[in-house]
Formats: sequence, C-alpha cells, structure tokens
Amino acid sequence: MDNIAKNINQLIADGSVDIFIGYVKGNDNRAKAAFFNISDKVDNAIFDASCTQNLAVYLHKHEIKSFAKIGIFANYSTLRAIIQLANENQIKAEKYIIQTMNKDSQIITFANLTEVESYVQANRPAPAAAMIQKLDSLSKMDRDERWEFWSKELASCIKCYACRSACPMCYCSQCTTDCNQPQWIGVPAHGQGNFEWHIMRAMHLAGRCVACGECQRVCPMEIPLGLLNARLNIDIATNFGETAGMTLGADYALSSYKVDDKEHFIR
Amino acid sequence: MNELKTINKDKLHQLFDKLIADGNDVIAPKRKSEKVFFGKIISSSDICYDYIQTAFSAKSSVFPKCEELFSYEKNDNEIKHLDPVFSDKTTIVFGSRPCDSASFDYLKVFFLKENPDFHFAKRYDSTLLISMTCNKSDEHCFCTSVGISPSDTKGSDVSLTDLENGEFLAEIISDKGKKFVADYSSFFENKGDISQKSNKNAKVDIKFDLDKLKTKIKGSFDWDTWDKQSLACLGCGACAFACPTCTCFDIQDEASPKSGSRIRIWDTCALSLFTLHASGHNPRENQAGRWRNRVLHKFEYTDTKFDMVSCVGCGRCIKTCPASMNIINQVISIMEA
Amino acid sequence: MCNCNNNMYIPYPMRIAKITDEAPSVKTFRLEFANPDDKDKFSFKAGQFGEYSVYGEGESTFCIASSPTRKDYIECTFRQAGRVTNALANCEEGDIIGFRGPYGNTFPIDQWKGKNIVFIAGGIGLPPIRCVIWNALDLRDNFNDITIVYGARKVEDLVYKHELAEWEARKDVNLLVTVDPGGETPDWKGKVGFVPAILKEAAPSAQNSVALVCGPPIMIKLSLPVLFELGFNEDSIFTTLENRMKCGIGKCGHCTVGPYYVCKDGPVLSYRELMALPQEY
Ligand code: SF4
Ligand code: SF4
Ligand code: SF4
Ligand code: SF4
Ligand code: FES
Repeated sequence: MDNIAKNINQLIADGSVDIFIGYVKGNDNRAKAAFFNISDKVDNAIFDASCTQNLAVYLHKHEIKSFAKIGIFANYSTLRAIIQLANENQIKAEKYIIQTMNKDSQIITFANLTEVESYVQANRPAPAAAMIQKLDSLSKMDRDERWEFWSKELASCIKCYACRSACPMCYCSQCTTDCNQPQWIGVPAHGQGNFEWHIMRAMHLAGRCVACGECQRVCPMEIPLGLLNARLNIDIATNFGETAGMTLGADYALSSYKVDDKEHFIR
Repeated sequence: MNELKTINKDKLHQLFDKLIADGNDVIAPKRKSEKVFFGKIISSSDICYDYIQTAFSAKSSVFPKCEELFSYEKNDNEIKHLDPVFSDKTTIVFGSRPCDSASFDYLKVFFLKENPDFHFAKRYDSTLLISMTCNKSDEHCFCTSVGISPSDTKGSDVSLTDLENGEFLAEIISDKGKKFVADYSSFFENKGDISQKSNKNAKVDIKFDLDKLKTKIKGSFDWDTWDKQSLACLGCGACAFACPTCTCFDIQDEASPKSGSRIRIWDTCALSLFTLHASGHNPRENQAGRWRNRVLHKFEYTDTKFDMVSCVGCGRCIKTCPASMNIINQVISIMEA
Repeated sequence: MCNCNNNMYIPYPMRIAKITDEAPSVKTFRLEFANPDDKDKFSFKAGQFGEYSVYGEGESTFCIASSPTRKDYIECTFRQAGRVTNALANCEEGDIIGFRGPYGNTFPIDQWKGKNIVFIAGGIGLPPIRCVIWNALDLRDNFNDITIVYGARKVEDLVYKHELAEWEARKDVNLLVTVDPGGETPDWKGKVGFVPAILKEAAPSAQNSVALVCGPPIMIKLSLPVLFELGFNEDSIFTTLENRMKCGIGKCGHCTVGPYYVCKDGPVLSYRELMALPQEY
C-alpha cells in the first residue's frame, strides 16, 4: 500500500488536492471512507477487496463540496457513479483528480471523464451469480407469491434511510419521502408506507442506479433492496439500451423523450 | 444474594412453548441471513443461540418502531379518543445481553421519571426480561468501560448463564422474576453454583476511563474533533435505531379526518430534518453537529439530567453503521485531546 | 407496576369560537373547550405553549397567546408554514381541533410585582409576549410602567392591529409601533425604523425593570446591546425559544439544545440562561 500513500502524499504536497478521499481500515473487515489531509493519516490508506463503499456519495456532501480541489481513489462502482453524477450535472469534472487501481495494482490517474468511461466499459465485472439467480426465482413466482415475498421483506424496514444515505444517486436536497405537502409517502415504517417508500425509491433510480449494491449492503435489516434496482436496470437496458454510469453524456430513460417513442401516452 | 436455580435447555424450550401456547409473546434471537435479530418466535426451535449480540436491541418490545398513541373517531363535531389496546398477556424477552438489560434501567428512568409515558409503562409492565450473560464478546463490546459487565444482571428479571453443558444457571433478580419463576417452578431445579458463572463469562477489556471521560467531555462542544470524526457519517438513522437507549420519535397522523390514529415512530437526531424549523432554519445545521449531539447525549447530557450515562457499550452502532463510524474512536479522540 | 394511566398524547377537543385574520397567512383562533369538564381542570401560566392538532394531519406547536386571566378560552396565533398550519388555516369557526397542554415553564411574572416591564417584539414574535402583556394589564396595579416596542416588516404584517389601537389609547401603556423603512403605507401614523433603533430612542429605564424580547433572531441580536447600554443585565432580560417540537413533554428529543429541553426546561429563559446553552436554537 506504500505506493498509494506515496501517491496521495505527492498530490497533497504539490497542492493538486485540498482533500483526498480514499479508504482506511474500518470496523470489522470493512473499509471506511478516509479524508486525507483533513482527518486521516495518509499512511493508513488502503485499497483492496474490502473497499466496497461507493465514495461518490461524499462528492455531494456539503462539507466536502466546499473544497476547491478534490482527489478521489475510486473503486469500480464509484467510477460509474461519477459518470452518472456528471451526466446529471451534479459534479464538475475539473474539480477532481480521479484515480483507481487496476488488477495489476497499478495506480491509474484519469485525465478526463472520457478515460473513466473507457475504463468502466472495459472493466465491467460480470453480474453476481447469486443476484441473477434470485432475480430469476423472483420472476418465476406468480404475482401473489412475489407480493408475499416483498411484503415480508419490506415489513421489517425501519425507515432508517441508510439505503438512501449511502446511495450516490440519492442526492436530492428534498427527498420525495420527506415532502409533506402533500404527503406522498406515509412516514411510519410499516405497511403501505414501506411499500410506497421502496417503490418510489426504485422508480427514482430506474436507469440511474449504478449497481454498486450499497443500499443492500448498508441495510441494517438485511432487506435485499438490490433486487428491485437490478430488475429495473435490466428492464431499462433491454428496452432503452443503456445502463447508468456507463456512457458519458447519456440521458436517462425516465427523463428523456424521443419522438419515435413506442409508447402512445408520451406523444 | 440472588436466588439461584438451574434449568436445562429442554425444559427451557418446553417452558417457552408453554408460554407461547398460553398466548404470551416470546421475543427471542432469530437468525435472518447473516444477522440475528430479536423477533417473535412461534416455537422454541426458532431460537438462535449462536450470536454475540443481536443486530438490534430489545427496546422494540417496550418502544416499538411504530406504535399507536391513540385512535379517534370524528362525527360532525363529536370526537372520540380511544387508548390503544394493550394485550394483557406477558411479553417474554429472552436472550438480551447484560448491556441490553441495563438499557432497560435507563429506559425506565427516561420514560417514567417525569411525565410518565403511558405506552411505555403499559409495555414495560407486561414485559419480562430473561437475559443471558455473555460467554463471548467481540472487539466492539465495551460494556466494562461504562460500568456494566458480561456477567451483569441489572435490568433483568431473570438472568441466565449458559453453562455450556446443556444447563443454564438462573439468577432470579426482580420481584417480577420471582413471581414468574414461582409460577413455572416445575421447569426449574433448585440447585445452582454461582462460582460456575465467572468461569464461563467473557472478559471485556476496559477501553476508557469513564470518570475521566465525563470530565473531559464537558466543554468539548466546540472542538474540531467532531468535524474530523464525522466526515464519513452519512446522516442516516441506523445507529440510533439499533441503539438500545435511543428514544427519540416523531408523531404522525394516519388516516382520514373521520377516523384514524396518531402514531409515534422512531426518529433520530442523526437525520437533518430532525431539527429543521418550518422557516428553513436548522439549528443543528451540519452532520458534525448531529454526530456530536448523539455522542454528547449518551455521555454528557443524560448524565447531567438523570445521573446516568446512557451508552451501555453494546457496540451496535459500530457494527450497524454503513460508513464504519466508531463511537469508541470518537471517545478516545476526546480523551486524547 | 408503573401505575401510569394517563395517556398524555390525547388532546382536549376544542371548538374554534372565533377566527381573526391578523396578517397575510397569519390567523388567531379563539378556542373553547368542547367538554366543560376539561375547562374546569385546565389552567396555565404566561409563557406556556401547547400542541394544536388537526385530526388526520398532525400536530403543530405554538404558544398560548391569550392571558391566563381570561379563563373561558385560549387563543393561539400562527403563521401558515407547513402541513398542519395549512390545515388549521382551512378550519372554520365551529370546527373541532385538538389541543394538548399547557407545556413548558413560565415567565416569572409573580416576581415582577412593582417593576417596570418592557416588551420588545418583532413580527410573529408578539403572540408569546401578548400573553404576558394582557396578563400584566389585567393586573395593572401590580406593575409599574409598561412599555411595548413592536415592529414588523410592513404595516400589513403587524398582528393584533385592533389591540395595538387599544393599547395606544391607554394612558397606562407606552406603546411604540414601528415598521421597517419602506414598509410604511401612505397613511401610516406609527414609527418607521428597526425595532432596536426605536428601542434606543424610547430608552426605557432599566431601574427596577425587566425586558422581554421575542422575534426574529436578528432583531433579538441587535436589541440586546441596546438593552445592555440602557442598563439591563443578564437577569433582567427574558426571551422564549422556538425549537422544532413534537411531543412537548420531554420525550421525543426534537427540541433539545444540548442537555436543555426547550419543551420542558423552557421555552422561557433569561439571557443568562440562554448564554449558558450551546448554539443549537
Ligand atoms: S436501509 Fe433498510 S431499513 Fe433502512 S430505510 Fe432502507 S430498506 Fe429500510
Ligand atoms: S454514524 Fe453511521 S449509522 Fe449513524 S448516522 Fe452516521 S452513517 Fe448513519
Ligand atoms: S451508543 Fe452505540 S454502543 Fe452505546 S448503547 Fe447505543 S448502540 Fe450501544
Ligand atoms: S442520541 Fe439522538 S436519537 Fe439517540 S436518544 Fe439522544 S437525541 Fe435521541
Ligand atoms: S418537544 Fe419532544 S422532547 Fe421537547
């Protein structure tokens, strides 16, 4: 890990960054987001399989945004999230020095987002077999069984909003679930309110979800939220031929409009 | 000296099955996939023994994530309020760890000392805590730093120790516990040797000196440690909802103007909306302030108010945090400042 | 056994006896107890607040704006700012709403016998103070000089316009009403200027006096140096805090300022007490 530290130290020393976001060892066998030059020691920097958190979530946190030059050591999903955030005009590429480490443990510094785009396209991992299997078994269920499955899973949601907080794409300054005029989504963490919350969130992420799996990883109740987003991602990709965070400058399916759209209601 | 008995695992399970058959709720550790949660069991075979700590505390048995405060019916201009209906059966919570049971002592003071809370009181009165001392601990346990220990019985009605030979040592702690054990005396055996307990119980190192912390933390409000430690915090509610002593809630109405209910739901000072004024002003405007509030509330504010530090050292917030925030590291950084 | 048989979350049903439009999106409700028994049980003191609810919409917190000396009703004045206040604003006279209270501590008005009282309020900050004003005026002999300095951004934003006229006409009240520069209408007869400046001009004596300040944070901030200059001190200046509240009884945690619960330890505090709190209000 010495070369990571050396590299970060270099960027800090020559003034290329005011803050560098990376990873250090966290609780249990997890990694924790680190904010070098501000709160963490560069010597503790790591980058390994434990570094799963999507660091792009911090790019829209206001405490971080206020820095002029930001470095980030991104894992694969973080890179995808960065592209998607740029597509949604949430970040300005010039502010960032984006780095990653490839399979051969070489540090890559991206000159621009186009290079990030080529990297994510070239290095796309195969979807997790367990996820595919679970999606398959869900689509084989009839409606009632699926309803049953989700009713049971979602009943345990406590509305801690960790899924939303950890999601790099949930950046709205006012989430629909927090609007109360009108109250679109029931606040209490039970029954209908839980369904409304998750259906709403899944729809808002349809075609924007970068498949990092953070929502599912962070859910303290072990709700398999990733299934909702994965299903929608597949449907969007099949119907509209694009996947979030893979193509620079792509519109996203639910906000774009084409004159030759096959749906009548849209014309 | 507490009254001692033993009960073997088969008898314990028969006891639970009988309690369930008699219509009582039994809440016990159950495995979901990787984590173990407290949940209502329908048979003693649902119980999971392989856990150091459940992912969430047992507080939901006395302070559920959603609960009706009252319901109402409104006709023209006549309004009728109805108290929620509480079951007259006992809720048996089995397998709470000493930290968890100790949290009930805090909850009791918090909810009942001033302005006694009707709903908590009703649930507390009908809850019986059969706790289990700890034979194992992990790196996030710090009960001994906050005056609790893996062998502690405070807050419990009956405290069991797994003797790892198919038998449990039962210490009968409270009057409620005495009555319960008397009612089901046939399941217990009148023997027991307290010296067997300490051999089994885990040793947990003291991570910080509480008295020193209490002095040091006063006046830490303006330190930059809060800003530094909290940068990773995402501002969700996972830590507080998992915490046995977090008691904050929101009040919401559900249903129509004609009939419906007013309910309370868990809420937390970690969320930015918690303190937001209607004017848009937010007195705790950044995450550092919210993280600070949670830590100071545990170690300073409740100590000022109730003479009780309200962190019981269970480590749940550490294990649950999606961002790997760590309250022990924060405490240590205060001690070192 | 805890022996707790009182569900504190159940409100008193209250009938809206009168609705007054005070200012744009500001209304005053006069509320009467729908059950006469409740009225007999109920009493409160100046400075306390309550939770007002529209069934199906939720609760909202405001002070009791009427005086405890008027026992047949309570009044509240609110600005439409959210779901519940909007629902309240849609209510009509005769409708039933819920009220829980009284909650919180009170102004130590009993200790002010024989003293001068200076009331300083801005905009929607008058209601909590109006409660004390009427309380003092209804027991007028107990107090010495009464000075009221009240300001709003514009003439139309002044609340209790009819009462301002009434106080103006009284010889035993020194009332100064002002609007911010630019907020005056052609026929405006009051003062023009910010509250702190008008206060300075009025220069009430600090001798044997207490001052109550309530209004926008900036008004409070700028009025304090004026008061200190006049000779008021940390213990003779009082204000009320308005943090977000849900339960009103020290349980929900929303209102806390450090270890201080605004709903239980407050909302009334002296300047000295205010300064001891962390800046979380
Ligand atoms: S993280 Fe899990 S429990 Fe929390 S709001 Fe999301 S789904 Fe619900
Ligand atoms: S400390 Fe962790 S669990 Fe708590 S609010 Fe912050 S991110 Fe969420
Ligand atoms: S603050 Fe954390 S360690 Fe302390 S009692 Fe709560 S969850 Fe447990
Ligand atoms: S730490 Fe925060 S959420 Fe927990 S009880 Fe205290 S104020 Fe409430
Ligand atoms: S308003 Fe609930 S604790 Fe103060």
